Formats: sequence, structure tokens, C-alpha cells
Amino acid sequence: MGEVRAFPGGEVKQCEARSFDPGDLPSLEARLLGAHDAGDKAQLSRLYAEAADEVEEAEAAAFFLTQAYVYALDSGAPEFRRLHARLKALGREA
Amino acid sequence: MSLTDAPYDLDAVLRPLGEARGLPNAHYTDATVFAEESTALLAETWAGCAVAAQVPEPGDALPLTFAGVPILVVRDRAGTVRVFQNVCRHRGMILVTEPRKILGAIRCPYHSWCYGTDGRLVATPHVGGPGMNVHPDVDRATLGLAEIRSQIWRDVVWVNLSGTAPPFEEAFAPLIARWAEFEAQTLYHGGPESTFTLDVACNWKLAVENYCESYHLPWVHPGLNSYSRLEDHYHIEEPGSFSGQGTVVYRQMIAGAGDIAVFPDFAGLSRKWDTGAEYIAAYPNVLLGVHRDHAYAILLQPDGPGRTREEIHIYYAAPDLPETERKANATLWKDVFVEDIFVVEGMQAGRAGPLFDGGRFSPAMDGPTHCFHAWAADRILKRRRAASALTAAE
Repeated sequence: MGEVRAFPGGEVKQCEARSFDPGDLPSLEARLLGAHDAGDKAQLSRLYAEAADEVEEAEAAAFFLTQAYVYALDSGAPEFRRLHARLKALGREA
Repeated sequence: MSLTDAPYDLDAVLRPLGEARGLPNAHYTDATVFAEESTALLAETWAGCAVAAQVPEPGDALPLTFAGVPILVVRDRAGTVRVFQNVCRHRGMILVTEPRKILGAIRCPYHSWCYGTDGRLVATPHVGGPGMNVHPDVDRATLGLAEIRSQIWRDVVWVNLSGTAPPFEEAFAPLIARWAEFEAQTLYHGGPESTFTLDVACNWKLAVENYCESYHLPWVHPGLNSYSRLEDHYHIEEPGSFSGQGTVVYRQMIAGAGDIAVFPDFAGLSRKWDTGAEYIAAYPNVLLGVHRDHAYAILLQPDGPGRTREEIHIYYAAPDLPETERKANATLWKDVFVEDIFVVEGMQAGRAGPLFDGGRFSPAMDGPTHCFHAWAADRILKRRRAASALTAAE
């Protein structure tokens, strides 16, 4: 069953508990942790984008897409434009 | 501050040279006065904090603390050098802690708010909740990095932290005019071999004071006596702006056999500069030198009342000059500046003497030093009087 979560300034939303846990994909989780340890931001962007594609739940996908977008921005990876466009299309980015 | 012995009399600094006293001890030793001067002399003026050559390429970022303020010098994607407060607009986190190249955005390491190299806030991840990166109450257009007023001149990055100083070109008009012949010249930084730093145990003002007078040269730099005698120097005084000294017997560094001048000249200089050179303290904290074939800038970075970091950058009229000669020139200057350390540190130690009353000047030789003291005292007194008037009005 879902939980009720409130965010300051936002509406109270009813949402499902995240249906994706990186632990569901041990290899992806391991690679993400490895990239975090290495500080490899371009790789983090790719891996979070991969995670976004793996999940079905919209909020989880947006979460991972956001992570991918920020690390692309940070590392100057050209994918940031495509990721921005995806987030914008989802109403998640300006 | 301790005022138990020599009377504290800042107005005495403003008297004519022959009657004036120097700045009282507290202006070199007292933490409260240091903080006051950081505002009155460093933040409310145009002070040098870096050189543009330290951020040569787009994306290069240099974090500094200047006058107690964390700042970030960045060359943006368009090639413009900008200075920001190095603080995230979200939770006040320091953004950049080491000199590095910004490949994409400046990402805050805390919650990952991201800024462009032009200071725009470009991403606010999860600001509206997980995966929601916008929120109607968070207007990115109003939350860019706080930009600090800055200006590049002679490759020095000058900043006006308070934002209240007159325009740079107005404040520096007398010095720009004095060195108009050098204005159109391109300065080529000599590279790592032409940069060095000296950490000295003295208040930053003592480095200014020692630099701008020639009185000490025969005693502290005896090696210069052979060709550059005291009488070959002249004073430079522009009240409220700068002071220093000039020489009429500058000789280019000569390379070994053949006596061939090593470095090319800046183009189109008048005959004055054939043997002329000038050394000017641009108030508050930049010590500049110009010669026909090279120039330098010394940035004084105050680190508390009794410590100063001197950062020296040497420039030439052409790029890619021989490394050996550039190193030799840097060594020559470093030797001269190192010779000055014992006097500035000795004067700092002397400020612990409570009976020292600021000292008396040589009416003939100490004009440039008095010029600097008067500038400092005038700014401090005006600030104190304005504060007193405000208090009285309340």
C-alpha cells in the first residue's frame, strides 16, 4: 500500500512506494556504487539513465533521470540536453 | 586594543609629512582593527585578488578567501573572467574547494544545485520533491550566484567586494594615465617559472610601505648600489590612489656572453623607458612594476593582522621566451623580495612595543609611505565618523 508524503509547498500526494530498488539489479547497483566511489560523473549519468529506463513507476524514473541529468551537467556530458528534454516532457524540469 | 602607552592618534597620520606620525600599532596587531580595515581598505576599494592567467581557459575556477569572503574566480564559457561569492544560494555551502576546471556546471556538493560558469542557477534537483526539479516558489532567475564587481587590468583581477567603490576606470584613472604607454600592450604571463609566493610574518600594509619607498635600498639591497644609487630614484605620489618609486638607470638583464638583451621590449615605448622603470603600490594591495621588457604584479593576500601571502607574477612582451632566462629573471626578483622579508617582519615585531607611536617620517624620503598611511587613515576615520553619526542619529 502506498504512503502519504508531503513536501513543503507542494500538494500532499498519494504515491506508491518506489517499485524499483537498485538492489533489484545487483550489477547496476554495484556499478553505481563503483562510479560514486571513483567520482566518475559521466559514468554515473549513464548508469542513472539506465536505472531510469529499467523502472516502470513514473516517480522513480524521474528520480533516476534527474540524477542522470545532474551528473551529465556536472561532467559536461552532451547527453544533458537529451536528459533535460525528457525531464521537461515529463513536467519535471523547466 | 591596548592604548595604555603611546597615545592612539589617527588624526596625527593626516598631518603634513614633516609633522605626521605613522599608523599606530593597533593597525598592525589588533584583530578588531584588522577586521575594520578589511572592510574600509580592502572591501570598499578595488583590491587585487588573483591574476587572469590563473584561469587561462574557459571553465577554469579558482577558489579564494579574500578579506574574509569566500570567492570564486571563473573564466566562463564565453571567455570572460567573473568573480562570484563561492557560496550556494540554497544552504550556503561552499561550492568549489580546490582550483579545477569546471567541465559542465558548478554543482554544489550538498544538494547538487547547479550553476553555469556565468553564475546562472540551471538545475535544482528534487527541489519540488523526488524527481520534480522545479517548484513555483523557487525562481531560478533570482537565485544565481552572487556576482562580485570585478575588473581585469594589467591581468590583475580587481574586485570591489562592497559594490560601492567608484567605477574602476575612474578610481584608477591617474595610474592608467601615468602608464598610458603600456596600456595597449599585451602582457604574456611567464608561466610557472615566473610565479612564486612568499609567506611573511607581517601585516600586509608593511609590505606596501616597504615597497613604495626607495630610502631603504642602499641598506637592504646593497647589490643594487653598483648601478642603481639612491639618487637615481624618484618618488611617485598620487594622494588617495597610489605611491611608489621610479628609477632612471634600469638596465635590462643581460644574457651571459655577448651582452645581448634577453627579453624583447614592449612596442612603441618612449625614450623615457630606455633606462626608466617604475614600482608603484596601487592601493590597497597590489604592487606593480614596469620596465621596457617585463612587468610584474605582486598580490598581497592578508591572512590576519600579522601574516601576509605575497604572490608574484612576472609578465613579458612576447610569449614563449626562453625558459632559462625567465627562470633567471624570476630568481633575480625573488632574491630582491626575499631581502625585504627581514625588514617587514622586523617592523611587525616592533609593533609589539607599546611605546612606539607610529614613528616619524623622513620629510625628504618617506613621502610615498606617508601618502599610503594618509590614504588608509582617511578612509578609516571617515568610516568611523560615519558610524558615529549613524549611532548618534539613532
